[in-house]
Amino acid sequence: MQFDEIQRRSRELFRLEAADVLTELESALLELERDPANTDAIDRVFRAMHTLKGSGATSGFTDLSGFLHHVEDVFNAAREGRLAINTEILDLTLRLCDVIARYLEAAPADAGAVLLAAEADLQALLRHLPAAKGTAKTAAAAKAVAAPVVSPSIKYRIRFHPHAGVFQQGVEPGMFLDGLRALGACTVQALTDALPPLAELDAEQCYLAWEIALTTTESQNAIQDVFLFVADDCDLEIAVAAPEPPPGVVRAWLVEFQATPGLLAAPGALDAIFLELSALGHHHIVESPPEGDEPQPGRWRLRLETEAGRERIGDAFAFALDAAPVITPAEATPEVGVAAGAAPAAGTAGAAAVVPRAVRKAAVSATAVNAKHEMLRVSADKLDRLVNLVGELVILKSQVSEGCALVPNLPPALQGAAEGLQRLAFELRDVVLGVRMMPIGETFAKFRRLTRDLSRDLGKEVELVIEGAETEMDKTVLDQLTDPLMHLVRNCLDHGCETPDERERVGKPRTATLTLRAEQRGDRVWIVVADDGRGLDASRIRAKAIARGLLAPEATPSEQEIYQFIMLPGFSTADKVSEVSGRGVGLDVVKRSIEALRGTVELRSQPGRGAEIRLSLPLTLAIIEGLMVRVANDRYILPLSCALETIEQKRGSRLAANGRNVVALRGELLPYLRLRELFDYPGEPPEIERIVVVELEDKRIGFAVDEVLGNHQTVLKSLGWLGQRVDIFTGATVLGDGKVAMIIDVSGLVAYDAARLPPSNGLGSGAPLSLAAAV
Amino acid sequence: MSKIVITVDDSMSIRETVKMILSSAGYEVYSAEDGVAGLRLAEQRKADFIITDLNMPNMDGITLITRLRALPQYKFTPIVMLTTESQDDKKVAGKKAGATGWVVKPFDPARLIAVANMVCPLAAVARV
Repeated sequence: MQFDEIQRRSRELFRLEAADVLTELESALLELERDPANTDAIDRVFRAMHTLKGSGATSGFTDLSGFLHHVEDVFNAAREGRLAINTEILDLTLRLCDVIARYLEAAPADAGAVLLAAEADLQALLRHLPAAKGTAKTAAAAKAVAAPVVSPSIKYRIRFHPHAGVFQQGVEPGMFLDGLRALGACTVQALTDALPPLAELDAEQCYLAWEIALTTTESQNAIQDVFLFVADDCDLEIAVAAPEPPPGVVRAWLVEFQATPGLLAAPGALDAIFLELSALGHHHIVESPPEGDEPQPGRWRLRLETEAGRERIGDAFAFALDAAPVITPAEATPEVGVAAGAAPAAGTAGAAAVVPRAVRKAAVSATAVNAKHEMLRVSADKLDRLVNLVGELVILKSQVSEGCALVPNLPPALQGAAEGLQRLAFELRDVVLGVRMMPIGETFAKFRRLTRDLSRDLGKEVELVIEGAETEMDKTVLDQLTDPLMHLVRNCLDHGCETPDERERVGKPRTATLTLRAEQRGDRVWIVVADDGRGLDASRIRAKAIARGLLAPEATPSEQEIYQFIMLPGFSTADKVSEVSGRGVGLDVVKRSIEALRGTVELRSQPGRGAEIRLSLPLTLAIIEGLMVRVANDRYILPLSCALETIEQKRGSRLAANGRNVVALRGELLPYLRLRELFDYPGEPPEIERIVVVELEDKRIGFAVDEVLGNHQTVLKSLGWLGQRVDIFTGATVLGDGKVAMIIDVSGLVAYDAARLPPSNGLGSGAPLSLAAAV
Repeated sequence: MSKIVITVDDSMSIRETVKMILSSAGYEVYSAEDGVAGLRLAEQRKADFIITDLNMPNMDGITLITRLRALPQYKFTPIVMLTTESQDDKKVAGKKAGATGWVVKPFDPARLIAVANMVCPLAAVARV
C-alpha cells in the first residue's frame, strides 16, 4: 500500500472515529451544563479533545489539530481548577463541536474555511483562559520590513560514547552517525583510545566513541532525538556554549521562528504564540513576513524582555512544533535590530536552541472515560448477507428435520445429527440477529442537543428525560427511526410545550418535561414521545377537519378520535408555518415511515396536561414469531405477538350479528373474519373451525381458520415490489417443505375487510359487545 | 517469517493507521485499545516490537511497559512510546519503565517504518 493511500484511509478512519468522539464530547458537555463542576465530565471533554487533536494530526488534519489545541487548553485549565466552566464556555464549545462536524464533512478544499469561519467563536472561548492577559497581538497587526529568510546555522560539538554492552541491545552506532549527517554538515572523528589489543578484543563489546562537529539549523533537541534509542546506553555530550541566565532577572531575548503554511493553517495558532509571549513580558517585532490580507508564511524575529527562561519562552511554541523557534539571549547578539536578515550572528552560534516542550499534562484518569467494549466495525451490508444466509440455513434445517421425520427407523446417528443441526442453527440465528441489535440510547441521546438548542431558540425551558435507553432494537429499525423521532420531538417542543410564563400562569412548573421512553413488549418495542405541555386543541382540529370536508359538521366523534386527524396528510393546525416544525412534512410522514417499519402510531392527549405519541415497532425486521395456521391447502402465519388465544367453533354454533360473523367468548360477542371467505377459497369450512383471537390496538377480533398448526419462528422475506401494493401481508416465509407461507398483516387485513363491506353500526371496528345486549 | 508488532492505542484511527503503515512494510501487526487488552494480547502472542500510546483508559502506557518488562519474554523486546506528549517527565517515566524510545505524534509513515526497522533489524523482516 502506498503512503498516500494509507493517508487517505487514515483520514477516512479518523472521520469515523471523530463522529463517535464528537457524540461523546457533546454528551459530556451537556452533562456539564447540568452540573458545571462535574470533574468527571470535564475530564471526558478534555480527553475527547485530546483524542481528536492527536488522532487528527496523525491522520493529516493538522489544521483541525491546531484549532482544537486551544479548546483543549480551556478544558485543561478547568481540570486544573484555574477556570470555572460557565454557560458561555459551554455554548461556545458546543458551537465549535458543530464546526468540527462541518469541517469533517466538508470537502478538503473547503475544510480550512470552515475553521476560519469559527475564528470569532474560538477567540471568544480563549478569552476565558486565565492566562489571557491583555489583548493578543494579531499577526496582521504586526508591521515590519520584509527580509530574506535565513535560518541560523549553529555549530555543535557532540561526543557520543556508547556503553560497551550496546551491541546486546541490538544497537548499531553507525546508524546514529547517519542520523546526524541528515541534520547538517558533519565532521566525525572516531575515538579509538579504548580499543584493546586484538587478542583481548571481545567482538561483542563496543570500544569506540565518536566526536562530531555538526553545523545545523536544527535545534539541540533534534540532535538529542537522534540518540533517542541509545540514550541509556551511551554517554552523550552536546556542547552548550552560553549558560542559562539566573531566574528573576529581566533579560532581553531574541526569538526567531518560522510561520510555516501549516502553522498559519491552524486558526489562532500564530495569535496564540503572541498571546503567550505577551504574557511573558514586553516584546517588539524586529522582522516579520511580508504583509497581506492573511498572515503570510515566513520568518519572524522578535525581541522579548522577560524574567522567564529559555524553556518557558519555548513553551509559547508548544504546539507550533514546525515553527522551529530559536531563542537566544539578545545581549549576545550585537545590534539586534540591524542584524535582521543577516547571516546568523555570533551570539546565535554559541547558544543552544530550545525546542518547545508541551506544557500540557495530558494524563486523564482512566475512570473519566466510559468503559468501552472491544468493538469491531462491520459494514451493514455484510451483516445483512449474514442474516440472509442464516435465514436460508434455518430453512434448510427445517427441510432436514422434515425429511428425517419421513424416514422410518431413522439411524440414531442421523437423528442426533439432525437435532444437533437444529440446535446449532437456532443458536446461530439468535446470535446473528443479536449482532444487529443496538441500544436505543444513542438514538435518543441525539435529541439532547436538539432539545437544548431548540427550546432556547423558542424561549422555552424544556428538560429532556430519557427512559429505557438500554432497550435494544434492530439497527435497521433504529436507523430509520431518527427522522420520525426528530419530527415528533420538534413538534412537541414547538407546539406542545408552553413558554415558562405561560406555564406559570396555569400553575405548572416553569420547565416543561419532554420524555423519550422505550420499553420492550414481547417482540415489539414501544417508543413514547410525551410532553407535559398544553395538549392538543380538539375544537381547533375539529373545525379544521370540518373546513376540509373530512368530518360532517353534525358528527360527534370523541376527542381521541378527533386527534387522529392530525395524522392525515397536509393536516396542520398551526396557522403559520413555523420555522421549527413546519418543514413541509406533517405527522402523516411520521405515520407512513413508522408503518413502513411494520409499526403503529398512536396519539393521546389531555388538554392542558400534555400529549403522548406511542410508536410500537417490531424488535427486528428480520424475524417474526408467528402462529402457523392452515386454510385449505395453504399455510399462513399470524404474528404471535398479537395472538391471544385460539378457540374452537363447531359449525352448528355459528352466530351472526348485523351481517357480521361473531362468536361467543366468555359472555361477550367477538367479531371474527373467516380467512377462507376473505381469500375466496372454494368449498366449505371444516366441521370444527379454529378461531384465533388477536388483539389489535386494544380491540379484539378473531380469525377463523381450518386448523392451527402451532408456533413457528420464521425468517421474514420481503415481498419486494409486490409488497408495496399488498397491505394485507407483511411478507412471506419459506417453509421446511419448500412451500411459501404468507405472513398476515393483522391490521391491514382488518382494514381491508372493513373497506370491503358496507359500514356497520359499530361492530365492524371489532368492539366486543355484551352477549346480553345482543340477544 | 514476518516480524510481529503490537500497537496499543485508544484511538481507533491511530491503531489502524499504524497497522496500515507497518503492514505495508511487511510487519504482521496486531492491535489493542488499552493497556489491559495490550497486555493480554502480548501474553498470547510474542511480539517482536510493541508501540504503545501513553494516555489510555483502564491501563496507561507506562503501566503497560512496566508490566511487559516484568514478563520474561518481553525483557528485551523493543517498546516504543507513541505520544503527543513531548514532555520530558513523560519520556523519563517511560524510559524508567523500560521503554526503548518514543515517537511523537503526528508521525509520518516513513518515520514510523524507519523506527520499526531500526529496532527490529531490517534483515529479519520478510518482505511481502
